[in-house]
Amino acid sequence: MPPSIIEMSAEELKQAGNKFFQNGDWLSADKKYSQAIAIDSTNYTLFTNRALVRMKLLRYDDVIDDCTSAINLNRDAMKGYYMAAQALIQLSRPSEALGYAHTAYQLAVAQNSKSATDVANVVLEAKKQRWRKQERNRIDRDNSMLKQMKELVKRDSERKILDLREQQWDSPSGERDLESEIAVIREDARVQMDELENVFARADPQRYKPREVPDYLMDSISFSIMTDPVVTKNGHSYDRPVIMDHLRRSNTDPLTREPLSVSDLRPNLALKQVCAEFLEENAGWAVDY
Amino acid sequence: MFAQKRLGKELSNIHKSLPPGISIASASDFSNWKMDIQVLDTNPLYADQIYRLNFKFSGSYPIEAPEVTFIKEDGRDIPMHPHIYSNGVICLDLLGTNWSPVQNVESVCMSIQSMLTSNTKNERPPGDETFVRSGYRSPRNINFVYDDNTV
Repeated sequence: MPPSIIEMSAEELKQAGNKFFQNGDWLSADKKYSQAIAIDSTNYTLFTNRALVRMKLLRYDDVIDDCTSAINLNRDAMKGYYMAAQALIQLSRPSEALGYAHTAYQLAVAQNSKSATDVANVVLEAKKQRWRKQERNRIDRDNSMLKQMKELVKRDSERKILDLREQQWDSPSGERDLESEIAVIREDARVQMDELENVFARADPQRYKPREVPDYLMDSISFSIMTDPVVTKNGHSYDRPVIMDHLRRSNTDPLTREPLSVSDLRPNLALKQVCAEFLEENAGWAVDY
Repeated sequence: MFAQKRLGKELSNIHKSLPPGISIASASDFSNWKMDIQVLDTNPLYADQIYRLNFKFSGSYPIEAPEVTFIKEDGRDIPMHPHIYSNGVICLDLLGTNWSPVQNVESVCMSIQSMLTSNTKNERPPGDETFVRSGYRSPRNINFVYDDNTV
């Protein structure tokens, strides 16, 4: 006889859930974690484990609930903040995601977690999504203004054509080629609209900026834009999660091969500010650059 | 991790320009690339020869070094060198203990190119036959002794 649920402890149920999870049986894993939580609702790892399963099941609202429970039980539950950020990105709520992602990143660095690079990527992903939302709003707004002006040009040309037809009606003259005069008016209107579009495009610096990330903002190991640059003893800057990855393998400066440890790293605040400002303006494409 | 993104960028740089004597033979994915190198001066050991390097990248590249070996393919031979075994395994500290993640495919090719250029000895490493017979293919499993810095 298998042990009944009552006889199984929360820890045993968690282990059973982990086993189902490893085998890809998300539904059974979810059930076991839920049973475990029913017995012991004070263990935050039960909530982060269930959040991970529910992420697989695409139940993002439930992921956020579980992450919130985990964070309330343990303020340092890095995974709670991390998965909440991921779920919020899935729900297209980038500003909230960014808040959780920042906290997750700080905890990951403080805990020297191997996930720090992945967490940093979620920060970037949230920034990218937020930028895209803002950019879409901006284009919609600009386009409505352009649309109004084009409407004016169109109405003006229609009025001219109408006037012309009325003149023709009042004093018919076989000499005039009405259709070709109307064609000229239409052509003029088309040229004016093209010009309007050009002016709007030229007045939009975003569309004309070269889409390149300057080398000094790029990490020379990951080849991606930095979010948390730190400087080594020789003055070269790297992105913190990337250089921490390297230092876990070898306590050496990548360029000079001199001894280097995490405690030697200092934040490069000025460069961090420049990177942040660059991302503020360009996250939509710079994250994947 | 960032292996794919970094290799993608390395590849687009490689397609733009490469130093003389180094060219790309194939790179259809982010786990295995082949590079051709040749020695440009008149070193009689390597004159008019093209050699092929096989790069294997793990998901942890560039934190982990790539696995780099010479391979026999398309008529390319294994170059004669006191640090290169006849099965293509290269004994180079840069690819092992002295790997640094700021190195890249191009810089590794250049190091190996200059290792050949400066060599004058027409010989294999000591114990080549035993080494090759032992069947080691993966340089990562070997603890080389980098005792000779003159070649």
